[in-house]
Amino acid sequence: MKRILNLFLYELKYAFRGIRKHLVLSFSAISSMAVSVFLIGCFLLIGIHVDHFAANVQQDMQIHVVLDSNLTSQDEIDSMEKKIKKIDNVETVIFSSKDDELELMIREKGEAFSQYRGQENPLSHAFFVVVKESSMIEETAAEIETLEGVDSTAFGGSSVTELIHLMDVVRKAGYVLSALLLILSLYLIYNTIRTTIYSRQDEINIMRTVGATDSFIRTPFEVQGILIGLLGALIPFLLVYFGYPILYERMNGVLFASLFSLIDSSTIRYIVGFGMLGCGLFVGFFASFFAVRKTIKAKR
Amino acid sequence: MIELRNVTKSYPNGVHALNRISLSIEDGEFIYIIGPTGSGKSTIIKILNGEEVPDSGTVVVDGINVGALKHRKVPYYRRNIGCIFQDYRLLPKLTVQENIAFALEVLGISKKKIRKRVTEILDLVDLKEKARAYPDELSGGQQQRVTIGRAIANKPKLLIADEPTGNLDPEKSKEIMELLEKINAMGTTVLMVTHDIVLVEKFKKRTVTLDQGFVVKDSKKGGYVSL
Repeated sequence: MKRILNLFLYELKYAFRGIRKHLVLSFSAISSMAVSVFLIGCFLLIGIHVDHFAANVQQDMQIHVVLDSNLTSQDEIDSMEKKIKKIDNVETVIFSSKDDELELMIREKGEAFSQYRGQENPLSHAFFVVVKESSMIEETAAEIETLEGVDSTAFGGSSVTELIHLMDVVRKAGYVLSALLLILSLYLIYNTIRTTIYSRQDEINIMRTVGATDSFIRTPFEVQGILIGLLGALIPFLLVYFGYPILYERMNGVLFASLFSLIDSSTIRYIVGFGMLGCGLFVGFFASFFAVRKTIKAKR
Repeated sequence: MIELRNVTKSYPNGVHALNRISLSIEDGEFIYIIGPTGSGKSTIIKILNGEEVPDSGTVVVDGINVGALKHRKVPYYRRNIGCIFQDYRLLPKLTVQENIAFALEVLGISKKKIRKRVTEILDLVDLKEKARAYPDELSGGQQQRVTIGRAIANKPKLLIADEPTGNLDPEKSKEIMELLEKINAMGTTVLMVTHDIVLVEKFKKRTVTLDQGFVVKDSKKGGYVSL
């Protein structure tokens, strides 16, 4: 037990010594880590915002289903609701009686319609249908319209569907790009750390001839990798941690329109900030793990 | 006790470094292995410290079949043998005392014990005043003494030396030889590969002569005998 503790202390000693004695290499590894993590952070920021916007827009997306005016009994309304619910893409169906419809109309079109309150209400009962997949809203509306007893359907219109399609493309492209970037930065940092280890190939061989086990040689490099990863991620972390709230204040929490509301600072600090720190730690450890393992195995 | 039985080794480029070599070395012996360049001297060292695996035949050191060791186990085996090289192989970023301490740190020995042992060794190899110097601040002879110090730090049973005097002038070579004799007198088996005829004549020991991968002479009396 004491022996293992001693070994670990010696390994730590060599980890810090390695950074101190190879300051230039460590610094270049830290800066390339900082740049990569910053880019990953940016894509993460864009990605979750597009997601957030899309969710906002989709929340407003529902189909207004107006029933035939002769459809009045509760039984008929219930069976109608069941029929609509059976359609694949339908998430929820909310009943809106003809009185509700009138109030809605008065609110939207003006007090002039208030004279229809009471017995004179010429409107029909209706449903608001929320769909699961908003990009399919057009097809779902058409399907509802074919049902017996439905007079007409309406939703945001083609401009909204186009926006939704566009967002879908942006979101997918964003995910692909950030995945590619993550792989790229892993590779970049793997190569940087591998270079620092290759420059010490002789040292590693000497350590082995003196009787150092693989883990005794490897641990200092892994600790260095983690430190380099964390230090490299710290710079973009601070940028996001203190920079995003300022950006948020300046933009008044929205991007162009209230539909595109920005995510509040504490959530971003948590998700993007700690996501970046985690990325740095993960990439730093694995890059050095693979690089040093390859070097150790090179000689018996 | 070292036992080589029918050891054959050839390299991918087609060179037959060792041809069915059989050799046995008793505990506490001091033995030279001599021969011209390309005779297989260095290959014997590499096989003994586990760097190379023989193509056929067995190498047993202290009951351990060296060729059969797994990659992971090789460092543990090496702790029982000390290695000295012509090019010293010191860790360049560590001072003299740190280089010697490193061989003990890998064992997980406590700091206090290491400090004590390092002082003993610095005394033995006569480098006390250079303890805090870095390898590139030392002369060849001094560096070689550090290597010897590191090799014997863990009190190994066997010390193998690959041309330890190869880069040194005769005066320094004599110093190194006297040091190796001192270590041998403490009970460590010493196996030394060399082509320094003068040394072999002067410090007479059992001498094995290799040529083109064959043992051509094994003289207990010692001394260099022309082929």
